[in-house]
Amino acid sequence: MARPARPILSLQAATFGERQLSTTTTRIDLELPRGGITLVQVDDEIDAAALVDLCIGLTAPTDGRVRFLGVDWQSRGPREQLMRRRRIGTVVQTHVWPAHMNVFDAVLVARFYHFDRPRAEVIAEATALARLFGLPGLPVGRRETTPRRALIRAACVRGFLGAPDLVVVQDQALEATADLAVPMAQAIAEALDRGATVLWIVESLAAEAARFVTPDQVFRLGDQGLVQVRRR
Amino acid sequence: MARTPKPASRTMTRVVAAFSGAGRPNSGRAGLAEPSWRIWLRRALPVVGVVAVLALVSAIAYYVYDSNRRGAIVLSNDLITAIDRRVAVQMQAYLAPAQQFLELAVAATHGRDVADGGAEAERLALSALATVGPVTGFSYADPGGNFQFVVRNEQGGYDTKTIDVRDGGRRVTWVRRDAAGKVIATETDPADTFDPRTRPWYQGAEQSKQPFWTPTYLFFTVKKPGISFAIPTYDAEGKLQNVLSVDIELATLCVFLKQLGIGVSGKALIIDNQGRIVAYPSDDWLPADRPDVATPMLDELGDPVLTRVYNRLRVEGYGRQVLDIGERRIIVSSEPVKMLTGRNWVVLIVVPETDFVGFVVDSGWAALVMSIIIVLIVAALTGLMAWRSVLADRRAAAAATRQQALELRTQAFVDLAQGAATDEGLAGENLQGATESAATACDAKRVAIWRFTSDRRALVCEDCFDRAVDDHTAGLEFHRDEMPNLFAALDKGTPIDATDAGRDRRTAELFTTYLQPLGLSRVYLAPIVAAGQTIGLLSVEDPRQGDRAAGLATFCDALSTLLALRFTAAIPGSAAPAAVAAALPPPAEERPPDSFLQRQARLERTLLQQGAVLEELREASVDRAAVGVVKLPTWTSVTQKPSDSEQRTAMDAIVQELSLSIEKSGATYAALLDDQIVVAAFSAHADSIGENARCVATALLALRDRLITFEDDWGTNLDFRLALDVGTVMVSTVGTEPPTRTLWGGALGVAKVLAAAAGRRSIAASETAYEVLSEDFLFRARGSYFLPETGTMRTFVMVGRT
Repeated sequence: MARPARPILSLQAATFGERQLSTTTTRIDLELPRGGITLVQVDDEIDAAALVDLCIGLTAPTDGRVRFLGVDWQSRGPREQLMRRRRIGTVVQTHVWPAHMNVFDAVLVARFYHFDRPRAEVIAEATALARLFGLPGLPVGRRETTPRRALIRAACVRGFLGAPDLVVVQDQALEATADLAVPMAQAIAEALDRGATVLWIVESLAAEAARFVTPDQVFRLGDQGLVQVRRR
Repeated sequence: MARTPKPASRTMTRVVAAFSGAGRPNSGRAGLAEPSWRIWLRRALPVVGVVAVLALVSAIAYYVYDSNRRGAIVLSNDLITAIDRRVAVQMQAYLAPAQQFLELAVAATHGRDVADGGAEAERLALSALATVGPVTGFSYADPGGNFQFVVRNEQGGYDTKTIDVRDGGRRVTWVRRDAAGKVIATETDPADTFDPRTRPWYQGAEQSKQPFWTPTYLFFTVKKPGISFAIPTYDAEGKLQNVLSVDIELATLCVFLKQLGIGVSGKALIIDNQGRIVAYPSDDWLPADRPDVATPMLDELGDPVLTRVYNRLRVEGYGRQVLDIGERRIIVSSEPVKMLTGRNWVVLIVVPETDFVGFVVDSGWAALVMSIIIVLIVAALTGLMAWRSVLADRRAAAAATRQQALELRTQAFVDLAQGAATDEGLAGENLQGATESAATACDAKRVAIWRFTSDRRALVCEDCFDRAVDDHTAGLEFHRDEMPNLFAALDKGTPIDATDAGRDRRTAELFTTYLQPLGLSRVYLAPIVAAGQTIGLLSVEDPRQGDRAAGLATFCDALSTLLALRFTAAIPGSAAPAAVAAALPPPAEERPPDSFLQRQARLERTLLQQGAVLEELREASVDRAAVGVVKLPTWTSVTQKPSDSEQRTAMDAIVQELSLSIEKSGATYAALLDDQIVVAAFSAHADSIGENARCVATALLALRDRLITFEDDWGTNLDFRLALDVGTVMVSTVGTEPPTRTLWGGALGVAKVLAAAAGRRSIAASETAYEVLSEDFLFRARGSYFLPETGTMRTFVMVGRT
């Protein structure tokens, strides 16, 4: 008998330390099956960012376990955590970019120096993603001289670049960008086709950018943890 | 930008202080302001009063309830005592005649047996029984088993039953009589087996050797519950001579108990000192067809209250007490009744306490509810008054705010007017002071003063003050082609107050290109009009709304009038340097020396990687072609038939119009490829690139304007985008007659990419196109991108002609 596919990310009774809009300790049980997309509605942006950090192993749960590809983040050292985190693409904090390098380098630097793919190949993939998201190419200016519209799209390129196993999306500015609805749906569809998993944490299930996405499971983060809801 | 503070700035310092409240202790009006604790006290007093009244009413209601309850309990005790006594008296009255009758009968029989004394006893019974109400039968028995029984029959007369067992025989005779006492029948009953010596009354009297009351039992003859009173007679030697007895039906006593009204659901019953029931306020409490059944004990009736009462009586004895049974309080009174013959019975009264004091609770609740309703009405009225007080405070505060804002704007205007009256007029630092004053007086994020160019095709920013960064900028341009609706509205000379600039048709273009990137949505635009013609614009961006916006329009209009006076008086071109600076291309050190050469070098390198040499492609390529791409609307949005055209679809009309525009433009090449139109101009001479680029740029502007016209005419949103590039393209010849050329690759690909990424209704331009056309056309920088086809390239939006 075939064993059920191991979830790519699982949170088992994982608890937040403190939440912004709740006085209770929230226990989260969540499993992301491979090749699926999950929508999680989180009302508060800080809670949403905390959930992202929990999922990608940047913070440890006060209780419970968070496993990525079957391995508990806390059972590995910082270096191995870093190695495993390379397999996760994140579209978060689209307004935050390093001050000491331009956007082009900020998008590609990890792919240039931590992977052994040819440079031209990486640039070609990034350019294709940039054009999918409505840019002629990757922006080459610094963050302060690059239009906000281009920064959001460059963040999308950074998240989907390199065929990550898990893509985590969480950004309110992106949610409100209606122009990104079609490109995001296309990028997610391509990622799912190659077996990736997508976790999109939204402030509202009616987010403009996510309106063409058909999730496999939809949750809402309440006081008592994740509650499965139906998307209208 | 550090500057010497101007009078207007000093005024604004006061304005800011007044708005923020920092200067209140020194201002007369603010100094008289009521302290906040007193305001809260004033608003809270009615609430405190209502709460106090509510508490008082509750306390009074509780006191009244409690005292009424106590009084009702005292009254109920008196009532129960009275009922006790009444029952005792009733029993005395009920049983005493029977007892007296029997004592007379004993005297009449005088110790004789039935054979000797029977006739005399019968006469006595027949004459006296009719007057002794509760007695239904008279029994006369001797130890030999002889028996005489006189009993009331259904006709109202009396029958006599005689059992004669003398001489060893047994003869049972019934004498029947009518109501008048006449004998109507005499009959014998050989089947009768009655033996008086086995009956409870006989045995009880024989055993006790004294007058004896039986417990309640079922009478043999009439089949009704009752009690018997028997008196035995002994001779001098103590030998039993006879036993006389009377039967007393308890039906009358039960009816009496049933008719007693004790509260709502209370009841009285009579029990003996063992707890066995003697009389119960019901007709069928003892089965009529079971003479062998003894009367039940208190705990055998299945009544939980009586069972508890029985248990308490056994433990605590007689008396009056209140039992808590479940949520009910039951008053139990159990007073013994001393019978004439010494037998102890108990009158038991059981009644729920609520039967006596329930009305007190009900009336207490009713009074409390009515009181609460009155309190609520008073509270509502008080709340209404308090709310009106709050509203009045708010109105007063709003009026004060408006008054303050108006005074400050007036002062600011006076300062501005004084500044304008100087030799410098409203120019230079005075102009900057004007924008600062206006920004602070209107509490706006930004205030800018714009001026039309001489050809009235563009608005140039003379000065813009940004309060967030406390700095001035100048030189930004809005082009008429870029914002036709805004310019059309300004030409009318009427102010525009756009609360949501993105939704106002007049300011939608301004919002997209200018306000939205700054995070602003509200703008007040006051045209600067001189001699009936708009010569400039005062824009107040994101001004404060609400009460502090009072007089904003008047202030801005007055300021624009002041600016109009000064603009007309000023020397032409005095404010132009900033605008000229903005129109200049970026500083030379920020530009690559020649973007075209860079692109060529990158193209050569790419071709070499593919095994091709650019020089060898000269015959199949055009070195410097100007290529424009029009990305047409989404096909589903242009499938409808236009109302103002003969064409089948909107797309047919668009293509028809665009082909005419392209024919007029003098372009060398035009093609419709799927949803894109490609326009190109090129020649064999490299020095004609400028002319070719202008040709394509002009064509694209015409196409854009025509498509905008279509949007306006059809009232639809055509999602079109355009792009322009100058560079190498490949040319292939298709062997038709005459041969036709097809362009592909190079600049055509770049233009397609730029068009795909361009903003709606805008013309994107490459860096090479900008370098060629920047002298003749107006561009706005759009950011630098890395394109694999060109390397790093600056991109622009072509707005219109300069």
